[in-house]
Amino acid sequence: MTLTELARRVEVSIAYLSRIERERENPPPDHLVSALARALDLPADDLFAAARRLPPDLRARTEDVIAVYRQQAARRASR
Amino acid sequence: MTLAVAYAHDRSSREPRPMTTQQIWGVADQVRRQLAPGRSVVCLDLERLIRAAGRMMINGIAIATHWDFERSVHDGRGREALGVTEADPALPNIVLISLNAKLIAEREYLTNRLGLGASRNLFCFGVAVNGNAKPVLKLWG
Repeated sequence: MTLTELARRVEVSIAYLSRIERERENPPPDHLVSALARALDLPADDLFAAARRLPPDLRARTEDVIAVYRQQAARRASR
Repeated sequence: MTLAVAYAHDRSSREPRPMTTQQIWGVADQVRRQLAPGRSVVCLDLERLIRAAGRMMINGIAIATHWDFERSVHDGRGREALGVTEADPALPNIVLISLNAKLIAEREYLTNRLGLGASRNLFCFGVAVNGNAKPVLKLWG
Protein backbone atom coordinates (compact mmCIF):
# COMPACT_ATOMS: atom_id res chain seq x y z
CA MET A 1 0.00 0.00 0.00
CA THR A 2 1.39 3.40 -0.89
CA LEU A 3 1.68 6.26 1.55
CA THR A 4 -0.89 8.19 -0.48
CA GLU A 5 -3.43 5.37 -0.27
CA LEU A 6 -2.80 4.86 3.44
CA ALA A 7 -3.23 8.60 4.13
CA ARG A 8 -6.54 8.52 2.27
CA ARG A 9 -7.73 5.49 4.24
CA VAL A 10 -6.91 6.90 7.67
CA GLU A 11 -8.03 10.41 6.66
CA VAL A 12 -4.89 12.38 7.41
CA SER A 13 -2.73 14.46 5.10
CA ILE A 14 0.08 12.83 3.18
CA ALA A 15 2.46 15.39 4.66
CA TYR A 16 1.57 14.38 8.24
CA LEU A 17 1.73 10.64 7.56
CA SER A 18 5.05 11.05 5.82
CA ARG A 19 6.44 12.92 8.84
CA ILE A 20 5.33 10.08 11.11
CA GLU A 21 6.83 7.48 8.80
CA ARG A 22 10.16 9.33 8.70
CA GLU A 23 10.11 9.75 12.50
CA ARG A 24 10.07 13.53 12.17
CA GLU A 25 6.86 13.98 14.12
CA ASN A 26 5.68 13.00 17.58
CA PRO A 27 3.94 9.60 17.78
CA PRO A 28 0.37 9.88 16.51
CA PRO A 29 -2.64 9.95 18.84
CA ASP A 30 -4.35 6.72 19.90
CA HIS A 31 -7.18 6.91 17.38
CA LEU A 32 -4.71 7.26 14.51
CA VAL A 33 -2.54 4.38 15.73
CA SER A 34 -5.68 2.22 15.84
CA ALA A 35 -6.77 3.40 12.40
CA LEU A 36 -3.31 2.64 10.97
CA ALA A 37 -3.41 -0.85 12.48
CA ARG A 38 -6.79 -1.51 10.87
CA ALA A 39 -5.71 -0.12 7.49
CA LEU A 40 -2.45 -2.10 7.50
CA ASP A 41 -4.09 -5.21 8.96
CA LEU A 42 -1.56 -5.30 11.79
CA PRO A 43 -2.14 -5.98 15.50
CA ALA A 44 -2.81 -2.64 17.20
CA ASP A 45 -0.60 -3.75 20.10
CA ASP A 46 2.38 -3.93 17.74
CA LEU A 47 1.87 -0.36 16.58
CA PHE A 48 1.36 0.93 20.12
CA ALA A 49 4.59 -0.81 21.08
CA ALA A 50 6.30 0.82 18.09
CA ALA A 51 4.95 4.15 19.30
CA ARG A 52 6.47 3.32 22.70
CA ARG A 53 3.29 3.43 24.71
CA LEU A 54 0.74 1.02 26.13
CA PRO A 55 -2.52 0.42 24.29
CA PRO A 56 -5.34 2.49 25.86
CA ASP A 57 -7.03 -0.53 27.48
CA LEU A 58 -3.81 -1.45 29.32
CA ARG A 59 -2.90 2.11 30.28
CA ALA A 60 -5.42 2.08 33.11
CA ARG A 61 -3.78 -1.07 34.41
CA THR A 62 -0.15 0.02 34.29
CA GLU A 63 0.59 -1.46 37.73
CA ASP A 64 -0.61 -4.90 36.57
CA VAL A 65 1.43 -4.63 33.37
CA ILE A 66 4.57 -3.78 35.34
CA ALA A 67 3.93 -6.58 37.81
CA VAL A 68 3.50 -9.17 35.04
CA TYR A 69 6.61 -7.89 33.26
CA ARG A 70 8.68 -8.08 36.45
CA GLN A 71 7.44 -11.60 37.18
CA GLN A 72 8.38 -12.76 33.69
CA ALA A 73 11.76 -11.06 33.85
CA ALA A 74 12.47 -12.71 37.21
CA ARG A 75 11.41 -16.09 35.81
CA ARG A 76 13.70 -15.68 32.81
CA ALA A 77 16.59 -14.66 35.04
CA SER A 78 16.14 -17.72 37.30
CA ARG A 79 16.32 -20.19 34.38
CA MET B 1 -3.82 25.45 -12.98
CA THR B 2 -0.16 24.48 -13.20
CA LEU B 3 2.26 27.14 -12.13
CA ALA B 4 5.22 27.03 -14.54
CA VAL B 5 8.54 28.51 -13.49
CA ALA B 6 11.92 28.28 -15.13
CA TYR B 7 15.31 29.57 -14.06
CA ALA B 8 18.98 28.81 -14.68
CA HIS B 9 19.85 25.57 -12.91
CA ASP B 10 22.21 22.61 -12.83
CA ARG B 11 20.67 19.76 -14.80
CA SER B 12 21.90 16.92 -12.59
CA SER B 13 21.50 18.39 -9.09
CA ARG B 14 18.59 20.67 -10.11
CA GLU B 15 20.13 23.38 -7.95
CA PRO B 16 19.63 26.95 -9.13
CA ARG B 17 22.68 28.59 -10.63
CA PRO B 18 23.82 31.86 -9.08
CA MET B 19 21.42 34.59 -10.19
CA THR B 20 21.51 38.35 -10.24
CA THR B 21 18.86 40.30 -8.36
CA GLN B 22 17.23 41.10 -11.68
CA GLN B 23 17.07 37.42 -12.61
CA ILE B 24 15.45 36.57 -9.26
CA TRP B 25 12.90 39.34 -9.80
CA GLY B 26 12.35 37.79 -13.23
CA VAL B 27 11.35 34.50 -11.58
CA ALA B 28 8.99 36.41 -9.28
CA ASP B 29 7.51 38.07 -12.36
CA GLN B 30 6.83 34.67 -13.92
CA VAL B 31 4.77 33.77 -10.85
CA ARG B 32 2.97 37.13 -10.72
CA ARG B 33 2.03 36.98 -14.40
CA GLN B 34 0.38 33.59 -13.89
CA LEU B 35 -1.32 34.33 -10.58
CA ALA B 36 -2.48 37.84 -11.36
CA PRO B 37 -2.52 38.19 -15.15
CA GLY B 38 -3.09 41.70 -16.40
CA ARG B 39 -2.67 43.25 -13.00
CA SER B 40 0.34 44.98 -11.54
CA VAL B 41 0.78 43.51 -8.08
CA VAL B 42 3.75 43.52 -5.77
CA CYS B 43 2.39 41.36 -2.94
CA LEU B 44 0.67 38.11 -3.78
CA ASP B 45 -2.14 36.75 -1.68
CA LEU B 46 -0.79 33.84 0.36
CA GLU B 47 -3.91 31.70 0.04
CA ARG B 48 -3.89 32.14 -3.71
CA LEU B 49 -0.21 31.28 -3.86
CA ILE B 50 -0.83 28.12 -1.83
CA ARG B 51 -3.71 27.06 -4.10
CA ALA B 52 -1.69 27.76 -7.22
CA ALA B 53 1.32 25.89 -5.89
CA GLY B 54 -0.63 22.61 -5.84
CA ARG B 55 0.75 21.71 -9.23
CA MET B 56 3.91 23.23 -10.59
CA MET B 57 6.25 22.79 -13.48
CA ILE B 58 9.69 23.87 -12.31
CA ASN B 59 12.38 23.83 -14.98
CA GLY B 60 10.28 21.33 -16.94
CA ILE B 61 9.76 18.94 -14.00
CA ALA B 62 6.20 18.37 -12.78
CA ILE B 63 6.02 18.81 -9.01
CA ALA B 64 2.99 18.52 -6.77
CA THR B 65 2.74 20.00 -3.30
CA HIS B 66 0.74 18.58 -0.42
CA TRP B 67 -0.07 20.84 2.50
CA ASP B 68 -0.97 20.13 6.09
CA PHE B 69 -2.40 22.90 8.28
CA GLU B 70 -4.33 20.78 10.73
CA ARG B 71 -1.91 20.04 13.52
CA SER B 72 1.18 21.01 15.41
CA VAL B 73 4.54 20.61 13.70
CA HIS B 74 7.57 19.48 15.68
CA ASP B 75 11.24 19.74 14.88
CA GLY B 76 12.25 16.13 15.52
CA ARG B 77 13.29 16.89 19.11
CA GLY B 78 9.68 17.36 20.17
CA ARG B 79 9.81 21.16 20.09
CA GLU B 80 7.04 22.98 18.25
CA ALA B 81 8.05 24.50 14.94
CA LEU B 82 6.35 27.01 12.68
CA GLY B 83 6.40 24.69 9.72
CA VAL B 84 8.55 22.61 7.48
CA THR B 85 9.04 21.85 3.78
CA GLU B 86 10.21 18.36 2.99
CA ALA B 87 10.46 15.68 0.34
CA ASP B 88 9.92 12.00 1.05
CA PRO B 89 11.88 9.48 -1.03
CA ALA B 90 8.69 7.37 -1.06
CA LEU B 91 6.82 10.17 -2.83
CA PRO B 92 8.72 11.14 -5.95
CA ASN B 93 8.16 14.63 -7.33
CA ILE B 94 6.01 15.63 -4.36
CA VAL B 95 6.89 18.37 -1.91
CA LEU B 96 5.30 18.22 1.54
CA ILE B 97 4.61 21.44 3.39
CA SER B 98 3.40 21.34 6.99
CA LEU B 99 2.39 24.55 8.71
CA ASN B 100 1.66 24.81 12.41
CA ALA B 101 -1.81 26.34 12.28
CA LYS B 102 -1.94 26.86 16.02
CA LEU B 103 1.23 28.96 16.06
CA ILE B 104 0.28 30.88 12.95
CA ALA B 105 -3.31 31.66 13.98
CA GLU B 106 -3.91 35.28 14.92
CA ARG B 107 -0.37 36.30 14.05
CA GLU B 108 -0.84 38.11 10.80
CA TYR B 109 2.75 39.27 10.73
CA LEU B 110 3.75 35.66 10.15
CA THR B 111 1.88 35.40 6.86
CA ASN B 112 4.48 37.67 5.29
CA ARG B 113 7.22 35.38 6.57
CA LEU B 114 5.30 32.37 5.24
CA GLY B 115 4.85 34.01 1.86
CA LEU B 116 8.60 34.57 1.71
CA GLY B 117 9.23 30.95 2.74
CA ALA B 118 6.78 29.60 0.19
CA SER B 119 8.33 31.72 -2.54
CA ARG B 120 11.85 30.72 -1.64
CA ASN B 121 10.79 27.10 -1.92
CA LEU B 122 10.42 27.57 -5.66
CA PHE B 123 14.20 27.42 -5.78
CA CYS B 124 14.42 24.37 -3.48
CA PHE B 125 11.72 22.08 -4.87
CA GLY B 126 13.78 20.75 -7.73
CA VAL B 127 16.58 19.66 -5.40
CA ALA B 128 14.15 18.42 -2.75
CA VAL B 129 12.43 15.91 -5.01
CA ASN B 130 15.67 14.65 -6.52
CA GLY B 131 15.56 11.36 -4.55
CA ASN B 132 14.83 7.68 -5.03
CA ALA B 133 11.43 6.15 -4.38
CA LYS B 134 11.26 3.93 -1.28
CA PRO B 135 7.68 2.90 -0.41
CA VAL B 136 7.99 1.99 3.27
CA LEU B 137 5.90 2.79 6.32
CA LYS B 138 7.31 2.46 9.79
CA LEU B 139 6.50 3.95 13.15
CA TRP B 140 8.75 4.30 16.14
CA GLY B 141 10.67 1.33 17.36
